[in-house]
Amino acid sequence: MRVFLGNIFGMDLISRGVESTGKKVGAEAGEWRKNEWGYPTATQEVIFLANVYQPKHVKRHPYHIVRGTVAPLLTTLPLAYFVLNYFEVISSKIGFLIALSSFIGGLIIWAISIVFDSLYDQQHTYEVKRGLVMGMMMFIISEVMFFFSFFWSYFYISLAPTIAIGCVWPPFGLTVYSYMGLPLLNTVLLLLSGAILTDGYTILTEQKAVHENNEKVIGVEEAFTNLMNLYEKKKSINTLTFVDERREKFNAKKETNFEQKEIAISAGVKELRDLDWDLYFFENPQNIEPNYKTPTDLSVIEYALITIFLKKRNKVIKTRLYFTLLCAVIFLCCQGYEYYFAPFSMNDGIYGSLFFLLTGFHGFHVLVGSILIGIITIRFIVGNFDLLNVGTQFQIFKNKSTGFACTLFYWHFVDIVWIFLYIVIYWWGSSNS
Amino acid sequence: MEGEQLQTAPYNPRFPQQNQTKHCWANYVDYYGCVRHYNGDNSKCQTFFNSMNSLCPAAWLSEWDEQKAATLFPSDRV
Repeated sequence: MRVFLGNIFGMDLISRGVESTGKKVGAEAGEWRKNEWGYPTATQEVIFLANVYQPKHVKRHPYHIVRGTVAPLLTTLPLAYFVLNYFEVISSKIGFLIALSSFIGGLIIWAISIVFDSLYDQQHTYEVKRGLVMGMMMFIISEVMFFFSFFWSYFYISLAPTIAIGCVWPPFGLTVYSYMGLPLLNTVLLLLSGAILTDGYTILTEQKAVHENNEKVIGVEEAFTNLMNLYEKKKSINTLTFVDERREKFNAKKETNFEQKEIAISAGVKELRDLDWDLYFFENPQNIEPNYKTPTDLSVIEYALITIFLKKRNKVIKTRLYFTLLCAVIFLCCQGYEYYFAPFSMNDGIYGSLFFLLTGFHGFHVLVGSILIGIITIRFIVGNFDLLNVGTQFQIFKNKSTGFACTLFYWHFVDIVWIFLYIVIYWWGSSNS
Repeated sequence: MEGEQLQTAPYNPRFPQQNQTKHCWANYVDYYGCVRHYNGDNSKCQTFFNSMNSLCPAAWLSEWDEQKAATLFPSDRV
């Protein structure tokens, strides 16, 4: 099954480290770490495996060179088919069904492979995450421009209404929705869901402690600090000294590192020699948390307790996600109700055209946003955010929160567009005085 | 024919644009509003009538008359 999935996703299992860095190899890798490096096991394993299996392709940069995968083809070819089908160049029900399933399956495979890149390949470094977030921001900016054009057409039509609609807006004789009915409920639903989702995100990124049944569910970092104080009083761990130890170990091995660096960049660019790329290899040093630890450094009790804390925390976040999804579904139902009983239709005049264009595209974006939230929810249910299931290369204090953050941005974008829609169409556009 | 003075609709500062569509439309609406105000007496509404006829294409007027007969004309003043 693993091999099958690996072939489907077009990824190399060796560097993924699912099979080859299981329990047996993980212990060996831990020993190897003690002898050779003062550096996290995850990084070493990848470097080690890369040296063993791909000696000529050592990664000298923090970026993610994606592997070949069929997902883009599975997703885009059906799109071309849909266009041909729409204009009836090709018309076949079976072909349409195949194309649709290929489209959906391609999207699913693409999403899963991105998650696997993050969880097992550990390819989502600081730089890659920055790129992902920036890409999402650019996408949202393009979406803003998309909606801006429709708002432009709305104002173009409504600020100087033509004689055909009686020189008034809304058009003469047309019954339009009041801003006090369902639209107000929709506003409340969207804003509330946005606030609740933000709450979940702050819990995930540990900007905020969680309370459940009058009991404080402390954050993982706090829990781990307490545990460390409890079980290792002798060491009296100070985060700064911990970092200093790591740095000392690192500096002690710098000479051997230097040799490897020379070998690795011998074919590379000259400027790379001056770069401190050993630290830069997988994570930006600014982003390395002081209590950076791998599961192999933990005792069984610590491991179990931290898992329990994580599960408690994730349960709290899951309730937030369910609530947000519920709000989105109720919103879509309200919009569907409004559309079904609308006193105007899309093709009976300019008001209906603009109304259904703007609110329809917004509703579609709500649908896409709730699909994104659904993906995050499924990832929580499957356990991507739990300690035990993250694999051998887990970093305890690194939350995989980039996907959640992007979803949150998108959801807030949808919120803000709705606020403009509510003010412009339902409120300003419905006052007929 | 010699003593008759040809005249189009006077300048109206409400419609300063080159496009006089809304000027025509307003005169049409105002003419029928005026007639209704004077209970069918159109003798006092000749200004609107003349402006309307000089500004509006005849096809528009006939179309609006049809709409008005079918109570589809988009104005509450007619």
